[in-house]
Amino acid sequence: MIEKIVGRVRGPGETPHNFVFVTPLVSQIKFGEFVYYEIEVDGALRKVLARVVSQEPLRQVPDALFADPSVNPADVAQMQGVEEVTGYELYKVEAQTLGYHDPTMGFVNPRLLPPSTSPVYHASAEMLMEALYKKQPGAIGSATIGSLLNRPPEEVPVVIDVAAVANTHLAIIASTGAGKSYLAGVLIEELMKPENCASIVVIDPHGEASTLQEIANLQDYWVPKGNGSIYMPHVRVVPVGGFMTRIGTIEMGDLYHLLPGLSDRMRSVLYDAYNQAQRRSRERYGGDPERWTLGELKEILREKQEEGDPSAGALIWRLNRTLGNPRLFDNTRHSDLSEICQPGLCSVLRLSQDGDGGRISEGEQQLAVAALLRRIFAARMIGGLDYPVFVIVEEAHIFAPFGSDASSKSILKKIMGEGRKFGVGITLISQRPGKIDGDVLSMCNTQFLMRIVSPNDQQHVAQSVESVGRDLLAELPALTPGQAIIAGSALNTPVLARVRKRDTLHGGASGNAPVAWREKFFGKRAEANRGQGSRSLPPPSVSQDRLDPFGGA
Amino acid sequence: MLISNSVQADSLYSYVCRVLKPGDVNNAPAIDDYTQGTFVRIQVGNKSLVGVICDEVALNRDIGARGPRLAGMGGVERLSPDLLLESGTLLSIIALGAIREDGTVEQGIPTFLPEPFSKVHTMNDNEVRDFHCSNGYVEVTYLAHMRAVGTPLMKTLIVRLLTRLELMFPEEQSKLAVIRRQAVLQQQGWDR
Repeated sequence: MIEKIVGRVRGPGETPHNFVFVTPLVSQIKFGEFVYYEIEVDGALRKVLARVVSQEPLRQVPDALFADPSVNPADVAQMQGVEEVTGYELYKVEAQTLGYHDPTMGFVNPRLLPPSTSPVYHASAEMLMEALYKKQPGAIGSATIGSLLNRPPEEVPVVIDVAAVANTHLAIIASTGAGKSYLAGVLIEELMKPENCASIVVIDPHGEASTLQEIANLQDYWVPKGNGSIYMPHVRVVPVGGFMTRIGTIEMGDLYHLLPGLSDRMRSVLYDAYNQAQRRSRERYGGDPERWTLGELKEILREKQEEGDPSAGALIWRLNRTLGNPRLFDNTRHSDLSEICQPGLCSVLRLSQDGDGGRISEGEQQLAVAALLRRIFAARMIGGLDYPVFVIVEEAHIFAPFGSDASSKSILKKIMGEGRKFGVGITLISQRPGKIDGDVLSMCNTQFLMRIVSPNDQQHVAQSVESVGRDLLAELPALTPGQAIIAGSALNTPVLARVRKRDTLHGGASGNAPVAWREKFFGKRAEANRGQGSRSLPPPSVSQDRLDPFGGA
Repeated sequence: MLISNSVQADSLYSYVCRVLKPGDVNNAPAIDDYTQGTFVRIQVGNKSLVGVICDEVALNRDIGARGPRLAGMGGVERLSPDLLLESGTLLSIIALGAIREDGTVEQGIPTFLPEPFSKVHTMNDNEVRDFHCSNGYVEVTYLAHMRAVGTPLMKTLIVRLLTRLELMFPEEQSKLAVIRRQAVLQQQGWDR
C-alpha cells in the first residue's frame, strides 16, 4: 500500500529528536497527527513514526487582504488572478520522532534524523493500530476507550492494555464538566466486557455511578461460559450500610485521624485503651484482636475516667460525636469481601448519604475507604481473594489529600507502591490534581488527562506525570469535553483521544438549576405542558379586575 | 475616440504613442481626453491590445535653442510649420491585456506587439466594464505586472485605476477597496 506523502523534510528541529518538514497540506496535518519517514537502520528499511508537535506558516495570504472583515480575502485574491489562495500556503511542521515499532522491543528510537528532502508520509490507520497499542481491539485484556482525536471518528480506535492499568494504576484528571466521570464509566464498561470480566470496586462519594447497572441488560456484553450458562456482567450499587466493616478493624492511626486535635495526654490515654480493647478481644476470641466493640472501648475509657483521668471523659465525648452513629462500621457485622469483589461484578459503594439522608462526613468516608482497602490488600496478600481487584476512587483528593493527612492516604500509598505484586489496581479520579498527594499521583503509571484550566493544577500534573511531553500538556486547557490525553504504560506512546459514547446512561451530568427551580415551583406537569424550548412564562395569578380595570372585553 | 495613430513599443507591455493634433484629424483630442489613467484600445488586426495611459511627455524641439527666432509664436504656423510638426505630446502606455478575435479577454502581459501605425482609441465605460468582467466577476489580474514595475508613477496609477473601478463596479466596491488600501500602503512605502 502506497501511503500519501504529506511533506518533505527540511532539516533538524529544535531538539535532537525533532525534525522539520514543509507541507502545503496543513489542513490534513492536525496537531498531534502521526506521520512517518523511512530510513535504513542496520540494513533494514524502517518506518519511523513521529508526532506533529508544532505548525508554523511559512507563506500565507498577505495581511493586507484581511483589511475588511466582511470581505473574503480569497475573493480579493481571485480578483487579482490568484485562484484558491490557500493553495499557495506553505507550512513548516515540526515533528517529534517516536521511533520504529519493533514487536518485541516496542518503540525503538533510531537516533537518525531523516535526510533533507526525504518524503514524510501520513501514517495509516493500520500502521497506527500496530504501533501505538499493546493490545488490539477486542483482544483479551483490551479496553477500547475511544478513537484518535486527529483522525475521523472510529478510524483509529484507542485501545489500552488493561493488565498494565490494573498493575500500575491509573489517574483520571480533569476539570469539572470535562467528562471524567463519563470516561470512568466508559472504562468500567470496557472492564466489564467479556474480554476482561473484571472485579471492580468503585468508591463513589457522590452517587453518580448508579446508572452503570444498565450493563446487565446489554446483550453485547453477554457471552456463553461454556457450561451452558452465560456470562452477564453485573453492577451492584451498595448503599451506605450495605457493606459493613467491623469496628474492631479500625487501627490506632485511624482513630487519631478521626479525632483530630487530641492532646498528647489524650493520645496516650486512647492508645492505652485501644491496646487494652485489643487485648481483651484476643483473650475472648481466640487471639483475634479485631473483635472489640465501640462500647468496650468506651467502657475501658470510662474505667480510666473513674480512676480520675479527665482526658478519658473528653475522649468518650469525642468518640460518641464521631462514631456514636456509625453508618459504615458495625460492632459485629463484618461483610464478606466476596460480596463486593467478584469477577464480572462492579460494586459501587455509595458513600454520599445514608438511608435517612444523613451526610457521611469526609473523615468517616476516609476511614471506610481505608478499612476496605486494607481488607482487600490483606486478602490478596495472605489469601481470601484469589483474583485481582480493581478499585476506582472517585474524588481522590478526599482520600489522598495533598498537604494533610487522611486515614486512607497511607494504605493508598502502600497499595500503589506494592499492589503490583498482589494484584490490586487503583484508579484515582479527581478534578483537583493540585489537591492530591504528589507521591500518590506520580505512582499512577497511566494517565487519562482531560481539560484542565487552572494553571496550578496544570503545573501539578506536569510535575507528577512523566510520560506526557510538554507539547501535549500544553493542550490541556484547549481540550473540549470528551477529549483526553491518554498516556503511560497502558499504551506505547501518548495519544490525543476522543472518548467513545457510553453504552449506559451517564449519571454524573451537571444539573440544570433553572429547570429544577421551575419544576419545584410550578410542578413537573406544568413544566411538561409548557413544552420544551417554550420561553413563555405562566400568567401571573392576579384578579380579573387587575387584568381589566375598565371592565371591557 | 481616436487619440493617436502611431505607436512605438518598447516591450510587450510598454508602448509610446503620439497624440493627434489639430490638422491630423478633424476632431483632435483635447487634453482631458488623454489623462493619466485613461484606458485605451490599440487595434492590431482583428485583435485589440488594452492599455492605460501611465505617463505623458511634452516634446518641444525649441527647448535649448539659443539662436534668435525669426518669427514670434503668432506666426510660427506659417513661418516654421516643421517646428510645430516636431513638437507634440507623447503618451506612455502600459499594456493591461488583450481582446482576442472572438472577444475573449486575457488580462496580463500580451503575447503580441502593436504595429507602428496602429490606431489608439480611448475606451468608453462599457468597454472598460467588459474588459474587467469577461469571466462573470471583476478581475484586475494585470495589477501583478504593474506592481512589478514598481515606480512611484506606477504605484500612483494603480491607486487611481482602483479608485475609478470602485465607482464603476459598486457591487464589488468592498473588495476593490481592500486592494486599493493595500496599494495606498505600498504607494506610501508602509507595506512590506
